[in-house]
Amino acid sequence: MNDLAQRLDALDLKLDRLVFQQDRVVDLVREMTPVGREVLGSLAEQLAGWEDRGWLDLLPALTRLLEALADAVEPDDVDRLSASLVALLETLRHVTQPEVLDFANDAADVLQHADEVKGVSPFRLALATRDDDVQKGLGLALEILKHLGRARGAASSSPRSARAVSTAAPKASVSPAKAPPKAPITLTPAAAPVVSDVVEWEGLSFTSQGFLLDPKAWTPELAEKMAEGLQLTLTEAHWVVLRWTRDEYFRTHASPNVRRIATGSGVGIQDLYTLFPSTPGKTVAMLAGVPKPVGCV
Amino acid sequence: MRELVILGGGTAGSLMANKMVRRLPSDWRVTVVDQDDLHVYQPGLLFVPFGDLQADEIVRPRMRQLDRAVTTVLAGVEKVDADTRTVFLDNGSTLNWDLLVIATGTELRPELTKGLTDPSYWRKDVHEFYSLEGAQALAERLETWRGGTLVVNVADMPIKCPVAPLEFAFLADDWLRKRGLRDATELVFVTPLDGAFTRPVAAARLGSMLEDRGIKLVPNFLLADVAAGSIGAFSGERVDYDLLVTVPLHGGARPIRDSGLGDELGFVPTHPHTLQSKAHDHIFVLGDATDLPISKAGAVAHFQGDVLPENLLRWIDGRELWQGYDGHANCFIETGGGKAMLIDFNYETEPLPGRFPLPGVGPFHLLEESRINHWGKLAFKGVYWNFIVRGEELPLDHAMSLHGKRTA
Repeated sequence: MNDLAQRLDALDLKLDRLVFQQDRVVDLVREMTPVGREVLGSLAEQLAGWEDRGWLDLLPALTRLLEALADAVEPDDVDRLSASLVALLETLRHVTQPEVLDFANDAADVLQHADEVKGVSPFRLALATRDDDVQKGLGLALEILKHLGRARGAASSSPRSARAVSTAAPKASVSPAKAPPKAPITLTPAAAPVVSDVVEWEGLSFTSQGFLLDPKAWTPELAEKMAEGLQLTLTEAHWVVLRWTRDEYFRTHASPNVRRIATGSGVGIQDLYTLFPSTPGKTVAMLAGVPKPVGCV
Repeated sequence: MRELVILGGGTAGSLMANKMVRRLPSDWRVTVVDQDDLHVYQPGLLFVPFGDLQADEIVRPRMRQLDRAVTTVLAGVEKVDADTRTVFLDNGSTLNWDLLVIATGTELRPELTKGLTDPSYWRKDVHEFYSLEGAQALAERLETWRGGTLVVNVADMPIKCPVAPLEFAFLADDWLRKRGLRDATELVFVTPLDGAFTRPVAAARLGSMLEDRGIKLVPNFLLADVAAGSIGAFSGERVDYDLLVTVPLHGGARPIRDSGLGDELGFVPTHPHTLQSKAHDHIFVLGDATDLPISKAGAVAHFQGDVLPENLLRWIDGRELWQGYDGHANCFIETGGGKAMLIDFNYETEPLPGRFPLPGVGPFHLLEESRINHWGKLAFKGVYWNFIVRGEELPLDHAMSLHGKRTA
């Protein structure tokens, strides 16, 4: 594998030529996009199938095979291989354009029917493109189409239910007005909600965790009421923090975390824990009427 | 000659330089400034402590990754003066720009946490793996590990590659099992977040994966101080350790902080969709240096790199900027045992289960562990040097797609 890696490194030196080749290949790739979509789909399906059957555990043997292959490859081949690699990647890029994805979505369902997709060997792909000639590439495309045709034949004889791909927006359920929104919750990760339900309180909408949905609907009176629910009495020190947090939110469109609040508002982290006990970041956001801070993922 | 100056020759700076030198009119010069000539493949740092990768396998000469037409300056930046459009270098010289790209990334700031860098235990029983030096020191320490309490900790967000600490915990679990040390080791994951990850669907999935592996989760722990044998949170809670692997606080690069270009943490306020600096129209920002509410990760720099060249060209022509960046990020998460998981998300959308990049077929599985994902992560090193850093096109659109994802 080291050998192969070294040869891949040699790609660095061929970059200029690669770029030149890429332009040439792009046009062909456009033509081949529909084919590429199908091929890559079936290849991927086959790989996934292999994985499901545990064949990938044969990896060590495969590694030896690759090593043998690497020994047999001449430096010039690597050069040509790189050109095909660019073609392959370009194809993939075109395939992931939004309009194509719509089509691929349907195609994916069709492929689900194929009980045994006979894919195309990637080595065959590489071999066929050894010759730089574009015509050969088209010949390969035809070969691939043949395989695909056979696979589809197999598919029609053994239908399977298509996988449903749901894109429906999550429905938020609205519960009737209740007591104040819940106090800060310490979430166990397993209990983290997939979709936040909406809770009504004081005529306003909150997430089930108690964060105001519309930061513009906030009033100081609301903060007082929420603080009461949390058994907090708001002092001027609290207000300094809440005002800074709201300003920051409207400036950056993101709720600051504790460290930002401490640095920005001038109230130290330790003091924030005294003013807003246990989870100051969340409590401050809740009382300031801004979304729960995401911690910059 | 008009000047495009790029501060920083890491992932973001390199790919921008390589892209712009091909696209700018010939009367433009592209200059990259960096203080050293060591480009570290940062995703590789995760594997160094376990001996799976050696330091020399993940470092390459920085300037050699740049197109020959790019002018390189090997010097540290002292200060950046946006009003006179001048960069002051530590070798006494200056650079002027027509257009500046800030790609200075983020710095580790362990010195900001009380007691963390105390020489009696720093790099001995207290480690980090976010620097080459730290990852190597940790590798040496793990060699002598015989059991006890191993605490994996995140000081506070934001950090680079927010899943890396989790990956470290998963890989440590796997590594300890292989060495027969898992029963003798208590693994604890201590995080300032309220779960394993910030985004709900992924947090639930990753949280149960911690549970499956018998890794104890301590959430809502904001690191206040480090002492010999224990760490303390601002809430007063303490957790004991025999070996602490922490991810220190992160901040913007020093020259950015010193020049007043950063926010309270030193990150540059940046328009989330155009990547233009909010303060100066002739400055653009990408990668970890921004203040954007999205992961600090190479994938983000890459997706931003699909939008920014267009906006630099539009700016030069005086045209309206493209609101092209949607916060797209994705990452492979190593889960141990030769498997990995893949997540894909943006400003608005949670990481969801499904297949990627081709809807329904993959080959990569989103939010599920698979061998193929692991291969993807391994193959990525080659892709990184040959495509990402070189600014070559990749088969991933910069805009996130919902196709192939299960939203309910």
